[in-house]
Amino acid sequence: MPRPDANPWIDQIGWIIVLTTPVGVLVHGLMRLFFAWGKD
Amino acid sequence: MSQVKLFTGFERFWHWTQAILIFGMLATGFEIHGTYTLFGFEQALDYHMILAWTLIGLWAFAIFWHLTTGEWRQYVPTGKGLISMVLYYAYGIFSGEAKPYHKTRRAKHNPLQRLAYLGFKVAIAPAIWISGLLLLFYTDWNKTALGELTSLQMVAWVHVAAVFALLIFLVAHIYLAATMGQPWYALLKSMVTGYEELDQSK
Repeated sequence: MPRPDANPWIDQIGWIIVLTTPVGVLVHGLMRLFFAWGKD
Repeated sequence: MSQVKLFTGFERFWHWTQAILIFGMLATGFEIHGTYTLFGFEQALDYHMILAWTLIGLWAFAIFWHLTTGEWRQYVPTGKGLISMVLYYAYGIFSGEAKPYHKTRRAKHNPLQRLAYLGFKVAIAPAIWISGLLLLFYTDWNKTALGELTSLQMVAWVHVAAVFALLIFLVAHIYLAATMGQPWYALLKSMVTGYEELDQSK
């Protein structure tokens, strides 16, 4: 079986979204901590 | 509040075995894809195949279990309460509002979870294993009508795109599962012990 080539578009868009998701998660988590801390 | 058994022994076995197999397939898959070198291409491909067949076997048992126990109903999507869950994660959680969903043994996933898990089960996972099997058996179909319709290249791109969708699902799933419980680790703990404290008066 020949080894298929990667599609640079799929790789670039994929990695951008995949690496952006943990950043979004981190911001969401930090905001939760911040607002919870403000209430105590 | 009372301790309710939410996850059976099989569900927990299926969940954690699937998690280990998926992480193994991600590690070997991205090496096959050319992202890095860890085991070497040939070895990574061998490991990827062993993990893939094990996962397909596990899924066969899981599908059988869902059908025979009726637990597939846990993933039937519902619009009722969906918007309030979205608003809770986008705003209410910061202002200290109570979670707008109370789980029960018969409905243990909130409307957003139902959608996410259904998307994984009926879209992401099948896209990965169908394209994966097509890649594996490429020489059996490339000279048939299917070979006229699509190409090895196209199937490989679908496989990789679906894996990126899986990675996004995983990041969100791990964050929510590991931090949204009461206390924060309660959901994670329930997937280990099977039990969770639920307020059954609601």
